[in-house]
Amino acid sequence: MSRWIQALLATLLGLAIGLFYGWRIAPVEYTDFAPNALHEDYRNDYILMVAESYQNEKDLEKAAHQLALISSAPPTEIIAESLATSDYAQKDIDILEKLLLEMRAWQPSLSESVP
Amino acid sequence: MKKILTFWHLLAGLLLGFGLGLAISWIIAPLELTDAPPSLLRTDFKDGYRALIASAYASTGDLERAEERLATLNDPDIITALENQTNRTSTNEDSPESLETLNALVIALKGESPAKQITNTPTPFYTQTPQLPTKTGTPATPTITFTPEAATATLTPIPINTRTPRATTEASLTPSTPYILATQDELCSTNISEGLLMVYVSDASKKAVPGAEIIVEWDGKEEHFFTGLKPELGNGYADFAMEANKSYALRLAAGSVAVSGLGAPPCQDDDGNHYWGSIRLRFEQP
Repeated sequence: MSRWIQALLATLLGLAIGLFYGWRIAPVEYTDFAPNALHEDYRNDYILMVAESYQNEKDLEKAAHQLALISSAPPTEIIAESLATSDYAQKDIDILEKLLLEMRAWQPSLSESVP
Repeated sequence: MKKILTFWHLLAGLLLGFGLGLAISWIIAPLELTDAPPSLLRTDFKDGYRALIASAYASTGDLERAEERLATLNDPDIITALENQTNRTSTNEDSPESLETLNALVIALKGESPAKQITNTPTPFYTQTPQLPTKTGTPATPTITFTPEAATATLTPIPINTRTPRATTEASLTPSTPYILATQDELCSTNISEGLLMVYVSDASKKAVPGAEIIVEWDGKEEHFFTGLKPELGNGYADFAMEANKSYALRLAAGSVAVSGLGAPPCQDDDGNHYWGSIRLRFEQP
């Protein structure tokens, strides 16, 4: 086997080791995430918190703004998807469904901007 | 030496490959983390997360759940983190609701009853700003609400109907009493939350004293609360929501006269509607 082929094989081996090290052993550590990067469980809990908070504050615009931080989808979709995919307790489902119902009826005015 | 020279091409290839691998995995195509815990959120998002936890707690009153949620932020001390945020929020003139809910959560985490610290009472008869009824028809749970009018009124209370203060019993001074009760007023104003026990603490130079521990006792129960948790109302200010028809005794933990026989005074507005007034106490160092 020629030296060049041996060097190439060694490079490939080094590349594999480097990728394994960089992706698995010591991957890039992120900080300063936005809520849209939250793990699904935390996302669902975040959505529940928005619904719980809404019970007290009765501010749909604020709730929509808070939901917009975790997804660009419409607020109703975010809540509906969370209801469909997460295993909430019945009282939490009631709270979320209430917000979903009111969010469906909500029409933000043109002057209001929901990111 | 000769052996090393023989394998130099392998070593160089290995190092080159390893370097390339790191460049790809760290710079060109780093892992995209989409399953982040709340502890990795940016500081301002963490603040928003805490405010949301506090707001959710204000709605549900579920302290255990609030604590579990706060724990996911991995703050070394969740109470300190909340207090720091409260200070930042008051400095930045954030929404007063957020400040109020954060304060209430701090108080609850310190082991005091949150329901007692919430300003507006849920009883429709007594409430100045009745809450919307829930769909199930059950009474609304005590919620934290904050009206700027109330805050303003608390800063400069203007009694609508004044009445003669109820006789109260003052205990004798203990050997070390750094604070004395300077004034005691009963306030009847619809602009102030009902049944509020408002305490102002200042030192000998009339400067507000934050962090002063206040002990209130009634029916064999005892609660502690602190000045300075509502900085928008003054660093030496603290309040406690009294229940109707109950008698309270209050003193400062640092030592003061014990003021007993405190209770929400009955008041009447211009339309003849009854409501509960508030009591204002001013403690000073002589």
